[in-house]
Amino acid sequence: MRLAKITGTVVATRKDETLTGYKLMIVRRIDSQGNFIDSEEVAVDYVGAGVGEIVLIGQGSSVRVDKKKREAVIDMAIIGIIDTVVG
Amino acid sequence: MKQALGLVEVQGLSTAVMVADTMVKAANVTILEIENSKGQGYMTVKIAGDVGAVNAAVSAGKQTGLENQKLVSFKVIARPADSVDQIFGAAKKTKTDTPIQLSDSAEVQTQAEKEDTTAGETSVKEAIKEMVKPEVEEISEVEPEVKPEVEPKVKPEVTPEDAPKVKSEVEPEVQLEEKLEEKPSLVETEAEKPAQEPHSESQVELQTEPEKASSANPSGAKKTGGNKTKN
Repeated sequence: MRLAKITGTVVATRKDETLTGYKLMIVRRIDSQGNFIDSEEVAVDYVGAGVGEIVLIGQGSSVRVDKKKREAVIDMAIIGIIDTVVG
Repeated sequence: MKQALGLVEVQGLSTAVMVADTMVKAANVTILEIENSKGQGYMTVKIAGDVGAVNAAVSAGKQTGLENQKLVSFKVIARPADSVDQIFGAAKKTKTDTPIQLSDSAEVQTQAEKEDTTAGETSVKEAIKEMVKPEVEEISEVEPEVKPEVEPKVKPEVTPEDAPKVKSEVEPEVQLEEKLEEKPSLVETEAEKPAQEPHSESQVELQTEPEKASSANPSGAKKTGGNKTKN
Protein backbone atom coordinates (compact mmCIF):
# COMPACT_ATOMS: atom_id res chain seq x y z
CA MET A 1 0.00 0.00 0.00
CA ARG A 2 1.25 3.43 -0.86
CA LEU A 3 0.52 7.07 -0.34
CA ALA A 4 -0.68 8.98 -3.38
CA LYS A 5 -2.44 12.15 -4.30
CA ILE A 6 -5.21 12.35 -6.86
CA THR A 7 -4.36 14.80 -9.60
CA GLY A 8 -7.21 14.26 -12.03
CA THR A 9 -9.78 12.04 -13.61
CA VAL A 10 -9.76 9.82 -16.68
CA VAL A 11 -12.72 9.26 -18.93
CA ALA A 12 -12.56 6.25 -21.21
CA THR A 13 -15.78 5.47 -23.06
CA ARG A 14 -14.49 2.47 -24.95
CA LYS A 15 -12.81 0.13 -22.51
CA ASP A 16 -12.88 -3.38 -21.19
CA GLU A 17 -16.35 -4.35 -20.07
CA THR A 18 -15.14 -5.35 -16.64
CA LEU A 19 -14.14 -1.75 -16.00
CA THR A 20 -17.65 -0.45 -16.62
CA GLY A 21 -18.98 1.59 -13.74
CA TYR A 22 -15.61 2.22 -12.12
CA LYS A 23 -14.16 5.66 -11.67
CA LEU A 24 -10.68 6.08 -13.08
CA MET A 25 -8.43 8.58 -11.38
CA ILE A 26 -4.95 9.90 -12.08
CA VAL A 27 -2.79 9.36 -9.02
CA ARG A 28 0.78 10.28 -8.25
CA ARG A 29 2.73 8.84 -5.37
CA ILE A 30 3.84 11.16 -2.59
CA ASP A 31 6.07 10.85 0.46
CA SER A 32 4.91 11.64 3.98
CA GLN A 33 5.90 15.29 3.51
CA GLY A 34 3.56 15.60 0.55
CA ASN A 35 6.23 15.76 -2.16
CA PHE A 36 5.55 13.98 -5.43
CA ILE A 37 8.01 11.16 -5.85
CA ASP A 38 6.96 9.16 -8.86
CA SER A 39 5.24 9.37 -12.21
CA GLU A 40 1.52 9.58 -12.69
CA GLU A 41 -0.56 6.44 -12.95
CA VAL A 42 -4.22 5.54 -13.37
CA ALA A 43 -6.05 3.76 -10.59
CA VAL A 44 -9.58 2.48 -10.20
CA ASP A 45 -11.44 4.14 -7.36
CA TYR A 46 -13.21 1.91 -4.83
CA VAL A 47 -13.97 4.47 -2.16
CA GLY A 48 -15.31 7.63 -3.82
CA ALA A 49 -12.27 9.85 -3.58
CA GLY A 50 -12.10 13.25 -5.24
CA VAL A 51 -9.42 15.26 -6.98
CA GLY A 52 -6.81 16.70 -4.60
CA GLU A 53 -7.26 14.11 -1.88
CA ILE A 54 -4.45 12.05 -0.39
CA VAL A 55 -5.31 8.39 -0.73
CA LEU A 56 -4.07 4.91 -0.09
CA ILE A 57 -3.42 2.87 -3.21
CA GLY A 58 -3.02 -0.85 -3.52
CA GLN A 59 -1.42 -2.73 -6.38
CA GLY A 60 -1.56 -6.18 -7.85
CA SER A 61 -3.90 -9.06 -7.26
CA SER A 62 -4.66 -8.00 -3.71
CA VAL A 63 -6.99 -5.27 -4.98
CA ARG A 64 -9.13 -7.96 -6.67
CA VAL A 65 -9.90 -10.06 -3.61
CA ASP A 66 -13.54 -9.05 -3.78
CA LYS A 67 -15.65 -11.62 -5.64
CA LYS A 68 -17.11 -9.15 -8.12
CA LYS A 69 -13.71 -7.73 -8.89
CA ARG A 70 -11.91 -11.03 -9.27
CA GLU A 71 -12.36 -11.08 -13.02
CA ALA A 72 -11.84 -7.36 -13.54
CA VAL A 73 -8.74 -6.00 -15.26
CA ILE A 74 -7.73 -3.83 -12.34
CA ASP A 75 -4.06 -3.40 -11.59
CA MET A 76 -4.08 -0.49 -9.21
CA ALA A 77 -6.87 0.73 -6.97
CA ILE A 78 -7.61 3.51 -4.54
CA ILE A 79 -8.48 1.60 -1.40
CA GLY A 80 -8.68 4.35 1.20
CA ILE A 81 -8.93 8.09 1.76
CA ILE A 82 -6.28 9.38 4.15
CA ASP A 83 -7.27 11.88 6.80
CA THR A 84 -3.91 12.59 8.43
CA VAL A 85 -0.30 11.67 7.84
CA VAL A 86 2.19 12.04 10.68
CA GLY A 87 5.79 11.27 9.88
CA MET B 1 -20.90 23.43 -27.79
CA LYS B 2 -24.06 21.69 -26.79
CA GLN B 3 -23.81 19.75 -23.57
CA ALA B 4 -24.99 16.22 -22.99
CA LEU B 5 -27.64 15.53 -20.39
CA GLY B 6 -27.34 12.68 -17.90
CA LEU B 7 -30.06 11.38 -15.63
CA VAL B 8 -29.82 8.88 -12.79
CA GLU B 9 -32.92 8.13 -10.78
CA VAL B 10 -32.54 6.51 -7.38
CA GLN B 11 -34.61 5.97 -4.28
CA GLY B 12 -33.94 8.07 -1.24
CA LEU B 13 -32.18 11.34 -0.59
CA SER B 14 -29.04 9.86 0.88
CA THR B 15 -28.56 7.62 -2.13
CA ALA B 16 -29.22 10.54 -4.43
CA VAL B 17 -26.59 12.64 -2.68
CA MET B 18 -24.12 9.79 -2.79
CA VAL B 19 -24.75 9.24 -6.49
CA ALA B 20 -24.38 12.94 -7.19
CA ASP B 21 -21.08 12.97 -5.31
CA THR B 22 -19.81 9.97 -7.21
CA MET B 23 -20.80 11.45 -10.56
CA VAL B 24 -19.16 14.80 -9.94
CA LYS B 25 -15.99 13.14 -8.72
CA ALA B 26 -15.90 10.66 -11.60
CA ALA B 27 -15.68 13.17 -14.43
CA ASN B 28 -15.86 16.82 -15.34
CA VAL B 29 -19.62 17.32 -15.07
CA THR B 30 -21.89 19.72 -13.25
CA ILE B 31 -25.04 18.91 -11.32
CA LEU B 32 -28.04 20.73 -12.71
CA GLU B 33 -30.54 19.66 -10.13
CA ILE B 34 -31.62 16.88 -7.80
CA GLU B 35 -35.33 16.61 -8.50
CA ASN B 36 -37.65 15.05 -5.95
CA SER B 37 -40.60 13.15 -7.37
CA LYS B 38 -43.82 12.81 -5.44
CA GLY B 39 -43.81 9.12 -4.62
CA GLN B 40 -41.61 6.46 -3.05
CA GLY B 41 -38.77 8.88 -2.41
CA TYR B 42 -37.54 8.68 -5.98
CA MET B 43 -35.03 11.35 -6.81
CA THR B 44 -33.46 12.17 -10.15
CA VAL B 45 -29.95 13.53 -10.32
CA LYS B 46 -29.41 15.59 -13.47
CA ILE B 47 -25.96 16.36 -14.75
CA ALA B 48 -24.50 18.10 -17.79
CA GLY B 49 -21.14 18.05 -19.50
CA ASP B 50 -19.27 16.53 -22.42
CA VAL B 51 -20.71 13.34 -23.80
CA GLY B 52 -17.82 11.20 -22.63
CA ALA B 53 -17.77 12.77 -19.21
CA VAL B 54 -21.52 12.39 -18.78
CA ASN B 55 -21.29 8.76 -19.90
CA ALA B 56 -18.57 7.99 -17.40
CA ALA B 57 -20.35 9.88 -14.64
CA VAL B 58 -23.69 8.17 -15.25
CA SER B 59 -21.95 4.81 -15.40
CA ALA B 60 -20.28 5.44 -12.04
CA GLY B 61 -23.50 6.80 -10.56
CA LYS B 62 -25.44 3.83 -11.81
CA GLN B 63 -22.92 1.50 -10.19
CA THR B 64 -23.30 3.31 -6.88
CA GLY B 65 -27.06 3.02 -7.12
CA LEU B 66 -26.87 -0.68 -7.95
CA GLU B 67 -24.57 -1.38 -5.04
CA ASN B 68 -27.17 0.09 -2.70
CA GLN B 69 -30.03 -1.56 -4.60
CA LYS B 70 -31.69 1.80 -5.00
CA LEU B 71 -31.28 2.36 -8.73
CA VAL B 72 -34.52 3.11 -10.54
CA SER B 73 -33.36 4.21 -13.97
CA PHE B 74 -30.63 6.07 -15.80
CA LYS B 75 -30.18 7.76 -19.16
CA VAL B 76 -27.64 9.70 -21.14
CA ILE B 77 -28.86 12.03 -23.86
CA ALA B 78 -25.85 12.98 -25.94
CA ARG B 79 -27.45 15.83 -27.85
CA PRO B 80 -30.78 16.85 -26.35
CA ALA B 81 -33.27 18.47 -28.76
CA ASP B 82 -33.87 22.16 -28.44
CA SER B 83 -37.30 21.74 -26.88
CA VAL B 84 -35.92 19.23 -24.37
CA ASP B 85 -33.12 21.63 -23.70
CA GLN B 86 -35.63 24.39 -23.07
CA ILE B 87 -37.63 22.31 -20.61
CA PHE B 88 -34.85 20.53 -18.78
CA GLY B 89 -32.30 23.13 -19.73
CA ALA B 90 -34.39 25.81 -18.03
CA ALA B 91 -32.66 24.82 -14.87
CA LYS B 92 -29.52 24.27 -16.86
CA LYS B 93 -29.43 27.71 -18.42
CA THR B 94 -30.34 29.59 -15.31
CA LYS B 95 -27.76 27.68 -13.36
CA THR B 96 -25.02 27.95 -15.98
CA ASP B 97 -25.67 31.55 -16.95
CA THR B 98 -26.36 33.10 -13.59
CA PRO B 99 -23.10 32.07 -11.94
CA ILE B 100 -21.23 34.22 -14.47
CA GLN B 101 -23.32 37.22 -13.57
CA LEU B 102 -23.05 36.33 -9.94
CA SER B 103 -19.30 36.03 -10.16
CA ASP B 104 -19.06 39.50 -11.70
CA SER B 105 -21.27 40.97 -9.06
CA ALA B 106 -19.50 38.90 -6.46
CA GLU B 107 -16.19 40.47 -7.41
CA VAL B 108 -17.71 43.87 -7.06
CA GLN B 109 -19.13 42.84 -3.75
CA THR B 110 -15.81 41.53 -2.54
CA GLN B 111 -14.14 44.76 -3.56
CA ALA B 112 -16.78 46.68 -1.75
CA GLU B 113 -16.36 44.41 1.21
CA LYS B 114 -12.62 44.96 1.19
CA GLU B 115 -13.17 48.68 1.30
CA ASP B 116 -15.63 48.19 4.06
CA THR B 117 -13.26 46.00 5.98
CA THR B 118 -10.37 48.45 5.62
CA ALA B 119 -12.63 51.20 6.80
CA GLY B 120 -14.11 48.85 9.31
CA GLU B 121 -10.80 47.86 10.88
CA THR B 122 -10.22 51.23 12.42
CA SER B 123 -13.80 51.45 13.58
CA VAL B 124 -13.53 47.98 15.02
CA LYS B 125 -10.36 48.91 16.89
CA GLU B 126 -12.07 51.96 18.28
CA ALA B 127 -15.05 49.91 19.22
CA ILE B 128 -12.82 47.38 20.95
CA LYS B 129 -11.10 50.15 22.89
CA GLU B 130 -14.44 51.49 23.93
CA MET B 131 -15.57 48.04 24.86
CA VAL B 132 -12.45 47.34 26.90
CA LYS B 133 -12.52 50.54 28.91
CA PRO B 134 -15.88 50.06 30.50
CA GLU B 135 -14.98 46.49 31.39
CA VAL B 136 -11.91 47.67 33.21
CA GLU B 137 -13.95 50.26 35.04
CA GLU B 138 -16.43 47.65 36.02
CA ILE B 139 -13.75 45.30 37.27
CA SER B 140 -12.01 47.99 39.28
CA GLU B 141 -15.32 48.93 40.77
CA VAL B 142 -16.14 45.37 41.66
CA GLU B 143 -12.84 44.43 43.26
CA PRO B 144 -12.96 46.95 46.10
CA GLU B 145 -16.51 45.95 46.86
CA VAL B 146 -15.51 42.38 47.53
CA LYS B 147 -12.74 43.13 50.01
CA PRO B 148 -14.77 44.94 52.62
CA GLU B 149 -17.46 42.27 52.42
CA VAL B 150 -15.12 39.40 53.11
CA GLU B 151 -12.80 40.83 55.73
CA PRO B 152 -15.22 42.46 58.15
CA LYS B 153 -17.22 39.25 58.42
CA VAL B 154 -14.23 37.33 59.66
CA LYS B 155 -12.94 39.97 62.02
CA PRO B 156 -15.90 40.46 64.30
CA GLU B 157 -16.28 36.71 64.79
CA VAL B 158 -12.77 36.22 66.01
CA THR B 159 -12.08 39.38 68.00
CA PRO B 160 -14.49 39.18 70.89
CA GLU B 161 -13.51 35.64 71.84
CA ASP B 162 -9.74 35.53 71.59
CA ALA B 163 -8.50 39.07 71.63
CA PRO B 164 -8.79 40.11 75.26
CA LYS B 165 -6.52 37.50 76.88
CA VAL B 166 -3.39 37.48 74.77
CA LYS B 167 -3.37 40.99 73.33
CA SER B 168 -0.69 42.47 75.52
CA GLU B 169 1.90 39.74 75.01
CA VAL B 170 1.90 38.76 71.37
CA GLU B 171 0.16 41.46 69.43
CA PRO B 172 2.95 43.93 68.64
CA GLU B 173 5.19 41.41 66.92
CA VAL B 174 2.40 39.89 64.91
CA GLN B 175 1.19 43.25 63.75
CA LEU B 176 4.58 44.09 62.35
CA GLU B 177 4.80 40.83 60.51
CA GLU B 178 1.39 41.21 59.09
CA LYS B 179 1.94 44.74 57.98
CA LEU B 180 4.97 43.53 56.13
CA GLU B 181 2.94 40.80 54.56
CA GLU B 182 0.07 43.00 53.67
CA LYS B 183 1.98 45.87 52.18
CA PRO B 184 3.27 44.13 49.06
CA SER B 185 -0.20 43.06 48.13
CA LEU B 186 -1.47 46.56 48.63
CA VAL B 187 1.32 47.94 46.57
CA GLU B 188 0.50 45.54 43.79
CA THR B 189 -3.13 46.45 43.73
CA GLU B 190 -2.26 50.10 43.73
CA ALA B 191 0.27 49.61 40.98
CA GLU B 192 -2.10 47.69 38.77
CA LYS B 193 -5.12 49.81 38.99
CA PRO B 194 -3.76 53.25 38.14
CA ALA B 195 -2.64 51.87 34.78
CA GLN B 196 -6.17 50.86 34.01
CA GLU B 197 -8.01 53.76 35.45
CA PRO B 198 -7.08 56.85 37.39
CA HIS B 199 -10.26 56.86 39.49
CA SER B 200 -9.50 53.60 41.16
CA GLU B 201 -6.51 55.04 43.03
CA SER B 202 -8.59 57.10 45.30
CA GLN B 203 -11.00 54.27 45.87
CA VAL B 204 -8.28 51.83 46.73
CA GLU B 205 -6.52 54.21 49.05
CA LEU B 206 -9.68 55.07 50.82
CA GLN B 207 -10.57 51.49 51.33
CA THR B 208 -7.14 50.15 52.07
CA GLU B 209 -6.47 52.62 54.86
CA PRO B 210 -9.34 51.49 56.97
CA GLU B 211 -8.31 47.95 56.18
CA LYS B 212 -4.88 48.52 57.61
CA ALA B 213 -6.28 49.92 60.73
CA SER B 214 -9.07 47.46 61.17
CA SER B 215 -7.35 44.33 59.92
CA ALA B 216 -4.29 44.71 62.09
CA ASN B 217 -5.95 44.09 65.44
CA PRO B 218 -8.45 41.42 64.55
CA SER B 219 -6.09 39.48 62.35
CA GLY B 220 -3.53 39.79 65.07
CA ALA B 221 -6.15 38.29 67.26
CA LYS B 222 -6.47 35.43 64.84
CA LYS B 223 -2.82 34.61 65.12
CA THR B 224 -2.78 35.07 68.81
CA GLY B 225 -5.63 32.63 68.87
CA GLY B 226 -3.46 30.21 66.93
CA ASN B 227 -0.53 30.76 69.24
CA LYS B 228 -2.73 30.31 72.17
CA THR B 229 -3.78 26.89 71.08
CA LYS B 230 -0.18 25.94 70.40
CA ASN B 231 0.97 27.06 73.79
